[in-house]
Amino acid sequence: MNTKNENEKRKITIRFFLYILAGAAMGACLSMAGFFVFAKLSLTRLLTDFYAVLLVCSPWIFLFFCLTAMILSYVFLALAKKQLANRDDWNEEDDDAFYRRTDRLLSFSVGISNLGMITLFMIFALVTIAVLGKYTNVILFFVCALAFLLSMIFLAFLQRKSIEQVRILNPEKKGDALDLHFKKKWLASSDEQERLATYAASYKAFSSLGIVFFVLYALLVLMIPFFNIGFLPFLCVGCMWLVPNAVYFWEASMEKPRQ
Amino acid sequence: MPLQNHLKEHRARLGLNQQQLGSLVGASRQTISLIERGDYSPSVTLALKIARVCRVSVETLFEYEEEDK
Repeated sequence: MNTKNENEKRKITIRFFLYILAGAAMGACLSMAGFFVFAKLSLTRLLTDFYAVLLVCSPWIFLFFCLTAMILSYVFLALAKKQLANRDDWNEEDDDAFYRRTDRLLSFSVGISNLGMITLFMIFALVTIAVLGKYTNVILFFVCALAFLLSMIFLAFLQRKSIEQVRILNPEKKGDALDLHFKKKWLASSDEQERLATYAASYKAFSSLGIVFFVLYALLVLMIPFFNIGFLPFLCVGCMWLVPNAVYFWEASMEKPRQ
Repeated sequence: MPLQNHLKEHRARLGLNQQQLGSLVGASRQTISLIERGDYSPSVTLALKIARVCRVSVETLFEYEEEDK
């Protein structure tokens, strides 16, 4: 048994060093290829030009995303509401498929409005950079600012409506989407199976963050020779990488009763 | 799934629907449905609560079958 464990340990260690070596080799190759490609095709210039075009178009991109997020989120909510309205009598045994379908539509509505909000925050930053760099005019910036405000309010109210529909499916659930303590109240009114599903989804999100931050960090390192990116992007990625890990470490090390 | 259950029969015997049973044991209709389908194994606390509502022992409600290795 011990020999088997030792062999397994040795295999894992060798695999670890192979990964490190392969990663370093890949990084070196990518850097060299990057140098070659960037020099040969003047990609730095091309990407800088692309960024300038992106800044010029940013208000229109922003308005497009505003509309898309609002329409998509509304459509999914409307579909779910229609399904619920057509259902006047509950026959739970046959209704699992119906329940899952409606629940998925509502999840899509909430998910799209959430992702939409984050994307809008990001693109609005681009619009702000564009107006400060005089890539776009001030009137267009104020139109975007107004659209930003209105779409945020609209998406937040859509989330509230979606949550209200979820509560028709799950009457025991508590919490208002506009409440700052919504997540806490929602989780408190969830049963053990729902909490387990939430924890599993959170762990998956946390695990995927590790990969995303690693890739982002590697991309930033590869960009150093070609763009004047400064230290700020590294600081942002580093902080975002540190915080979830610190919270995870803290929570895991605390001895709490787990119900 | 090594955990088999007879929840559906016992619930039918009591004339409760999934929503009503869920309210009695502090679980959602969806969770009761998942347990009945064998897609979710409840905690000891929830299993005891369900057994108490059904007025049977946990062993009558849930059976553990060893999986073939």
